[in-house]
Amino acid sequence: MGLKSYIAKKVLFAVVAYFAAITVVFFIYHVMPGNPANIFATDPRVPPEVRDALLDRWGLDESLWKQYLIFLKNLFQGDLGYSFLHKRPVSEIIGERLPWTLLLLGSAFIINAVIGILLGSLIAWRRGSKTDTAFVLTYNVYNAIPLFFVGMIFISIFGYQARIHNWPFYFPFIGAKTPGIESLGTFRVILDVLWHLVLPLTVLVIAGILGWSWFMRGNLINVKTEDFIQTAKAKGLNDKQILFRHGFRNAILPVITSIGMSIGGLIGGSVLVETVFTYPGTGRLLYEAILYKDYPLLQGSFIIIAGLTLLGLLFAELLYGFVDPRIRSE
Amino acid sequence: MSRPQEDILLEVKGLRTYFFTEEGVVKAIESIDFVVYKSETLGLVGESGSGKSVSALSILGIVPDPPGKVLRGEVVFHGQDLRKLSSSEMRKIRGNQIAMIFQDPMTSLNPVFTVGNQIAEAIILHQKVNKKEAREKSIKIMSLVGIPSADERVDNYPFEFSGGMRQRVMIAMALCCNPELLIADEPTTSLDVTIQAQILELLKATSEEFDMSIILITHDMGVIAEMCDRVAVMYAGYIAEVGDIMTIFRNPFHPYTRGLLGAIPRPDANREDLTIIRGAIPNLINPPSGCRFHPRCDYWMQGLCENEVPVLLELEPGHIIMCHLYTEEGKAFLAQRKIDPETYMKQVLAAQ
Ligand SMILES: Nc1ncnc2c1ncn2[C@@H]1O[C@H](COP(=O)(O)OP(=O)(O)OP(=O)(O)O)[C@@H](O)[C@H]1O
Ligand code: SF4
Ligand SMILES: [Mg+2]
Repeated sequence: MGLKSYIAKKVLFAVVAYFAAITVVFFIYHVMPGNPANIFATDPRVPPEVRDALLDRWGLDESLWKQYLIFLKNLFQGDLGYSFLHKRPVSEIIGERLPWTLLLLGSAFIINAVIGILLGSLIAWRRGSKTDTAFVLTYNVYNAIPLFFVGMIFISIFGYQARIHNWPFYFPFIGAKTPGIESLGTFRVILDVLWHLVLPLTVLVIAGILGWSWFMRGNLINVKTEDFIQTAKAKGLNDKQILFRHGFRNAILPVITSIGMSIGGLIGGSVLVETVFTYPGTGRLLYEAILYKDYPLLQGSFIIIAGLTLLGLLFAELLYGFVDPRIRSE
Repeated sequence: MSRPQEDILLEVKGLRTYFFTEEGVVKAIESIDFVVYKSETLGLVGESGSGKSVSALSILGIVPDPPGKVLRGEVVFHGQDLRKLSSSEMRKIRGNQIAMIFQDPMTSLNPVFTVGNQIAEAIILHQKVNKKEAREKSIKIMSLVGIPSADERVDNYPFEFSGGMRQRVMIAMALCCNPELLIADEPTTSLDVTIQAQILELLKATSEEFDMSIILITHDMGVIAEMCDRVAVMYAGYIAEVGDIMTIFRNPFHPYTRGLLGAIPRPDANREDLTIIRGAIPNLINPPSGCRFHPRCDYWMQGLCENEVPVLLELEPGHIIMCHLYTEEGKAFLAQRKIDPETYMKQVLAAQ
C-alpha cells in the first residue's frame, strides 16, 4: 500500500465526514424548537412571492426526509437558501465573504505555522538558556490574556490613538478595504487591502503563534532524548544537521496532527476578530446570522465552515502521509 | 600477557563523567583506565548502572550535555587526546575512525528516513563521494552484513525490518567508513537468542575482515567468553579488574569479578554453589565511600575499605586490579591483625 491509496482513503473519508456533518446541520436546523426552517413562512420580512417560490423550491410542505433530499439536491447545485436579512441567496453572500476569510485565516495560518515552528525549534535547541526562560514566562502570561481584549487594545492604540495624535502611521480597524479604492488601480487596491489586514491579522498571529512555538519546543525537547539522535551524534553529524534533519522531521509529526485542532480554534478566533474589526468575512457573517436569527444564513455558514474545517484536516492528514512513512503503509 | 606499547589503539586515562541533575550530582564515572589494542575485542562488563554506556559516550564525546559533563581524564587515540580536539575535529573521528552501535535497534534508527539514506548519510559525511556512489556503497555494505536483496531493501524504512535486521543496518552504518574501533553497546541484549548468536558471529567476522578493534559492552559473561580477547570489569564508575579472558575466567582476583562469574549458572554446578552478589548497585548520587563495592563485599576489611579508595595495581603484566586485598594498605591492615591475605581470603570463603 502506497501513498496513492493512502490519499484516496483519506479523501474518501473526508467526503463521508462532510456528508455526515451537513446531515447533522440539516437535522439540527429542522428539529430545533420552533422549526426555524419554516419560520420564514410566517416571517413578515420575506416578500410573499419569494415565500411561495421558496416553499415550492424547498418542499417545505413535504416530509422531513423529502426535505432532506431536496436540501441535498439544492446544495449540490450550490443553492444554500435565501437570507431574510440580506434578502439575497445565501450562496451569493457567502461567495462574497469567503475570500476575505480565506485571506485573513490563510495568512494567519501560514505566518503562525512557519514562524511559530521555527521559533519553537530554535528555542528548544537552546533549552535552559535565557531566551528559553523568557519564552516560558511570556507564554504563561500571554495565555492569560483574552483575544478580544488584545484586539481592543490594538484598535485603541494603532487605530484610534495613532490617528487623533497624528502619529506617522495608523491602521484602519473597520472593513477590509477603503470604499471606492478600485478607481485608483489594482496596485493601490492591494496596498489598501494589506493595510486593512494588518490589525486583525496581527491579533490572530499574536493569539496563535506562541501556541505553535510552545508545542514545537516541547516536541523537539522530547525528540532530543530519542535514541536515534544519539545515533546521529555518533555518526559525526553536527548540531544543525541533527536538529534540522533528524530532530525536526520527527518533532513536526505531532504538530501536523494538531493542525486539525488548530483550524477549529482559528475559525472560532476569526468570528471574534472579524466581529471586533468589522471584517467582512464568514466569521462575522455567522455572528450576524446569530444576532438577527437569520436561520438560512446560519445554516449556510455552518455548511461552509464545516467544509473549511474538514479541508484543513484533510490537508493535515495528507501532509502527515508525506512526512511519516509508517502512516501511509498501514 | 600484554602487548607492546605501539599496539595500543586507544588509551583511557582517569576519565570522569558526572551528571548534574535536579536530584543531585550523579557520579556515574569516577575514574576509569584501560587500553584497547589494535584488532582486539575488549569486553566491558558490569551490572546495570555500573557506567558502561556512559564510558562509551564519554570516549566518543557525546554524553548528553546537559546534564552530563566529562570532567577530567584523557582519551588517547593514535597518540592524540580526543578531549583536546575541537568539536569539528572530533566530528571527523566519530562515525569514521570510531563508530558505535547501540542496544536497541528498534529505536536507534530514525523512523522517517530509509535505511539507505541513513547509511549513505554517514558515507557522504566522511568520504568524498556523491549521492549515487554513496547509495551503491550502502547497498554493498548492507549485503556484506547479511541483509538479503540489499538493492531493494535499501529503500525500505526501519519499521519494515525485524529487530535483527535493524541491528544489521546499524552495523552496516557503523562499518561503512571502515572504522578502526567499533564500540558495541549491548548489541544483542534486545534480540532473541538465535538472532543474538548471528549478530555476534557477524561482529566477529567483520572485526577480522576489517582488522578492527571492538569494545563490546555487555553484562553477559557468556558473551564475553565467546567473543573477547580481554575483559575490563566495571563497578559503580570504576574499573575493578582488567585482564585477558583466560586470567579473568580462571583466576579472577577481584571479589566483584568472582561474584559476576558466580552469577553465570554452569550446568555442572548445583544450586547451592551458585554465588550471586547480594544487594544492588548503589545510588551514584551518594555512592559508598572508599571502595564503592564495600557494602556488598564479603571480604570487606572494616576500617580500611570504606575509608580509602584502592589504587589500581598491575599484579601481573596486563592484569590490573583495584582492591585492597592486593594493596600495600591492605597487607599492612591484615598484618596488624596478624593474618596474611591468603589465609584471610580462605577464611572468608569458608565462612560462606
Ligand atoms: N542522562 C543521564 N542523566 C542522569 N544520569 C544518568 C544519565 N545517563 C546515565 N546516568 C546514570 O549513570 C549511571 C551509569 O549508567 P550507564 O547507562 O552507563 O550504565 P550501564 O552500565 O550502561 O547499565 P546498563 O547495563 O543498564 O546499560 C547510572 O546510575 C545512570 O543512572
Ligand atoms: S577493596 Fe575491600 S571492599 Fe573493595 S573489593 Fe576489595 S576487599 Fe572488597
Ligand atoms: Mg548501558
